Amino acid sequence: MRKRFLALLLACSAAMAFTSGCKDGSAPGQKAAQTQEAERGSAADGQKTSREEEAKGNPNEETEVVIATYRDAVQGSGDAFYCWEGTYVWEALTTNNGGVIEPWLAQSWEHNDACTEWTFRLRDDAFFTDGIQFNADTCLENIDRWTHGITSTYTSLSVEKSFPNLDKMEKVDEFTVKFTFTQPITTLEYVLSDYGSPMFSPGCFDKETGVISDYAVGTGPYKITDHVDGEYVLLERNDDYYGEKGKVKYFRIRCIPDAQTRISALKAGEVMGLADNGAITMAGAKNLCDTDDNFSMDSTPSHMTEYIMFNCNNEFLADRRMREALNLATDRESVCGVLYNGLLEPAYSFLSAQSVFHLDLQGEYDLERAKALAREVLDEKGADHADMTMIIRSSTASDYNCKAVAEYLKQVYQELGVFFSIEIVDSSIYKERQQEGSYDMTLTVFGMNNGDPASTFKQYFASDGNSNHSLNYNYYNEKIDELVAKAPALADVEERSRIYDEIQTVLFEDSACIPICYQINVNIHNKAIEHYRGRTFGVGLPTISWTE
Amino acid sequence: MSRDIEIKELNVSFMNYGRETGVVTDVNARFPEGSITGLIGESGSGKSVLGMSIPRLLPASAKIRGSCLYDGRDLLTLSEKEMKEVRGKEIALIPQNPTESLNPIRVVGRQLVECVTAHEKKGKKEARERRDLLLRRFGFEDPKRINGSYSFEMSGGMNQRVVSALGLMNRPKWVIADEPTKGLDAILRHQVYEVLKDIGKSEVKGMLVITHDIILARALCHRLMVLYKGCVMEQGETKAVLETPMHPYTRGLIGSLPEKGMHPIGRADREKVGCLSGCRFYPRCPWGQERCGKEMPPEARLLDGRTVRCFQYA
Amino acid sequence: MWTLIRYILKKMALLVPVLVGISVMAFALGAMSPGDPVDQVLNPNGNESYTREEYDQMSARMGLDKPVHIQYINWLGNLSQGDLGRSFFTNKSIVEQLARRIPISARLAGLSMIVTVVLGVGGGVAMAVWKDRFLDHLLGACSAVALSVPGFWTAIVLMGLFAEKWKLLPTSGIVSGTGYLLPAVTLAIPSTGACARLTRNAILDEVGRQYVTVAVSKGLSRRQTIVFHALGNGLIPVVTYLGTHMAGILGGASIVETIFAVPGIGSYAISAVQSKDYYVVQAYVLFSGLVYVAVNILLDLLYMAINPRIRRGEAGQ
Repeated sequence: MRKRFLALLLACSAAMAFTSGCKDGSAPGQKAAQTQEAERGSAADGQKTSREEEAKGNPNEETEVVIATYRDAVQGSGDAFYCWEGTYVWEALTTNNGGVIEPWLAQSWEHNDACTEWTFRLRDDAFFTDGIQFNADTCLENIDRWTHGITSTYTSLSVEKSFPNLDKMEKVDEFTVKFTFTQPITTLEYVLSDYGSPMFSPGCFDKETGVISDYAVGTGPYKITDHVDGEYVLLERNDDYYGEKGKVKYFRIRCIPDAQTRISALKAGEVMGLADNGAITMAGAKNLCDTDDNFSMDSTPSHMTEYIMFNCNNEFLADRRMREALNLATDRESVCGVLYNGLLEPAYSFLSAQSVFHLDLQGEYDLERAKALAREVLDEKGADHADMTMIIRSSTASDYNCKAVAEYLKQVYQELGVFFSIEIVDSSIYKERQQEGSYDMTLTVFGMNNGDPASTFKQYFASDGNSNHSLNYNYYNEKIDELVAKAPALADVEERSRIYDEIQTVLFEDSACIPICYQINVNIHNKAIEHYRGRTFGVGLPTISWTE
Repeated sequence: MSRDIEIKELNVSFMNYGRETGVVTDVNARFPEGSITGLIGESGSGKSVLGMSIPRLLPASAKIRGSCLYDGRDLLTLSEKEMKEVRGKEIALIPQNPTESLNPIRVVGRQLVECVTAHEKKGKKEARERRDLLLRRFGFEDPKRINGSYSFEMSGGMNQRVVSALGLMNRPKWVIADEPTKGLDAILRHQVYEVLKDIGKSEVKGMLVITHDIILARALCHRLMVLYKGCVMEQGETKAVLETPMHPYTRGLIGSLPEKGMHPIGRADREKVGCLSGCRFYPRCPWGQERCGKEMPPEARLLDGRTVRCFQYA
Repeated sequence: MWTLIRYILKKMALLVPVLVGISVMAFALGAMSPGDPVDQVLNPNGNESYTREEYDQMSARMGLDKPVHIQYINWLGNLSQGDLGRSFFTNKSIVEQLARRIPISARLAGLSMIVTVVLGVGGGVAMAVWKDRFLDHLLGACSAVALSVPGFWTAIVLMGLFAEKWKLLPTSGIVSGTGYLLPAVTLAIPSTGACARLTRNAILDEVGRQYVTVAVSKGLSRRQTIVFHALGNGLIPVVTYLGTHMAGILGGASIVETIFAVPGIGSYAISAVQSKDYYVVQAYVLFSGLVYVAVNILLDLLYMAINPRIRRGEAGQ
């Protein structure tokens, strides 16, 4: 009897150990959640708050705005950037605003004619939220931090990447820094923009390792007050910000990985808006706005473009005529009009419309000529048709409407005698296939790294281009090599712009790849908040306010 | 009210995949108060089914027709709730396969007490006293040890005695003992016989003993019912049936006893098999006439009070 | 008492070979599968380029330049000091992450188990007691449906009803304790269906046995015989099923966790597998192995509690 009781007791207590304490562990968030619960009631009534109550019951001051992203806005100590730029916590020297590089923590800059010496004049009124002033010293300490090689899930951060061929950096005076290079660099302000030069308070990272152990402290309009890993981050307005202060005092950015759940949360009123690229598909957003009056959609041009990239090692694709045939057979108007509900613009030029260097080329859709060209190539090779494979990364397929586009193209290209099979594979296999070169075409979506196209052109289309090799595009064009070599040396933007125009034209005429459409960033929000606008990264938190 | 059990035209069949198989056919019997009746027959004769049909312990696939009168009521027409009151209290079962009849994961003592608590929630204390009394009656010197044991910890003989106590916990009027000596050795058989005789005399009003052990039946029972393939072939006073069997089957049964020379009953004549409307024993009967194959012989009443189902006496 | 402890210790000794076996397998599988974590770290977005030297440097830093068996031995060495390593990508300490996430998944699993046991066993008993009546058919149909619906569908429907429409519960996240309810119920539904049917069948198997007939002969009602007699004996297969199910969901219910934004160990494992975060996968595999052995021990204890034959032995004292 005792043995049996003991055995049962042991079993039960072991099982109970698992269900202990449902209420602990989220205690810090618990209280905030409770206040949020209480305030959510008033948030719904926020629209009714009149001006007279502004002083006391101003929702911008009391009620937090909850936004959802698909991944945690704070990656934490192990990440070089600590958190997403969209949190408006840290700032960089310059920023890319719709393709134009604007000053940020660097007020102005100049370089010598040889472009080997760059001098940056820094703001004298920017303070980190812990009180330390941003100046030349803190700037250099930050750059030193990048030498520790901390990795990031956003993009890489290193002195080599941000300051290629750096010879030395020095403090000229309290708010001026100077960088000297062994090779000329014409586009430094592009490379340094946004994720190129994050600035954190020296008080928050370790000198030896560069690791930010506690919350990151930056100069931005918001600061981090609480973070629960994988759940949410609480931001509070920086009232000492040097620039335009945020309207709303409290933001909560919640991490909801599943797309459907995000939409549910939006519909249930738990979150007021969605942010970050791919937070909601275009179709989903349009559908929601059409069916529910409470929501409004905001789209900003994205630097992402949908392309078909070729593996030019394929015997047919190596021939320019075949590529041109496929290009001519692609009816972008229909794709954008039908498959994308008219929301996207057709793309002919490699650079996205968001870039200032975008050349507005106009291609055509000519199925007959396409067939003729294709037939020519096939006959010469003595083949009656060509078999190919097209690979698509599964995450791309789900975030953008790629599968439909691929299916459509499959039908169309068949008429040219080109038969391809569509393979949607997961990320690792996709990378492997690309690195092995075991594919012929790929339908992919990508954008430029920074505002300056030179590195992008070189990377993908120059014969010594990294991605051209590693991803097996195997594209070779002498003219491109020539132009790409010229561009970085030109200091003058105008001249560079002309080279870029030429490059885009050559790529277009050579059908180096097939751009299909320029993507947009869709940001959807509840009408209870307004001035919700997409930016290059995320949405502009400082402009958001509760609708009156 | 009459405490006799009277069975009229009892038919039991089982439904199996839509087909009905008759197991007990046209049984008429009266078990008078104060008597011990033995139901004897081979395996498959339907004696267990007959016995179990009285307290309605057959599985749901069984179809019972006829009537079974007891205490002024037809047991076969009672609701389950009413039957619940009858079982264990009025008519109790001493089951066969004693080890199988006890729940292996519950201690024996509680299973015994449950007989009483099934009928009234209170009275646990009295139940425990009665239990210990009965266990001592049945030869257990230390009831406490038995109470805390499980069925698999005790021998077959011990379980048999426990199960017998189980039947008697509620002081029932009638006890149906199903194969009480099956699988037991000679010594245990005698023990069981002693106990049953004791019960039959003092504890209960009447007893039905289902067995194929003719020796036990001879020693224990006042009356005998001989069954073959679901039909009652002969029933009457034990002495009469065993010493002067009338029915060909009974004769064959007695003749096959070791002390009488173990003469087997003849095998079924293949040509005669398959006639369901006639006498069940026809294919093996040495006397069998053509009429026997077509018609079921009626139960003929003889001068000494017994009935025989055979055309010889009709 | 001592036999019990000795028994448990003997079973725990099983842990070592099991853990070694599965960690070796996991390591080997990880090494064999496509994808390169070094490339993933250097090139997270897919459009960054790096040199051969940078690759080699990072590879050495991540310890991936050594042959697989050396890597495994190094990992074992770290493990003996309680260090499970860091994630390749987030650089977060794996031990810390597990310490945070395991309780969350455990709570989810625990809550889900309570639902399964109460509704599943209860439903099964009800079906057995009122066999072939309306309730049996109704519950039987419900459990068949429960068994068959895919988890994500249930998740969407429940979320749509309880969170969006009626606003009773949060759509996602576990900021408030109520956030555990929807995912727990979603998790529990298929297993509740299975458990109910299993319980019903196990009970009905017992009902055919002799001791049940005898119990009825004592005057017990059908309900009483099922609950007091048949259920106990029929529990063994049910307990086995529940045990293995518990082990499974303790390992993290990945899909449910992802849909409901529950930062548990399931979603952690999924993203690690996708990004080939070896050390995280190893740690997860280790944890799974531990869970299975622990659950096995628990099951054995439960068997002992239920079945006296195991406690006392066949032959009797």
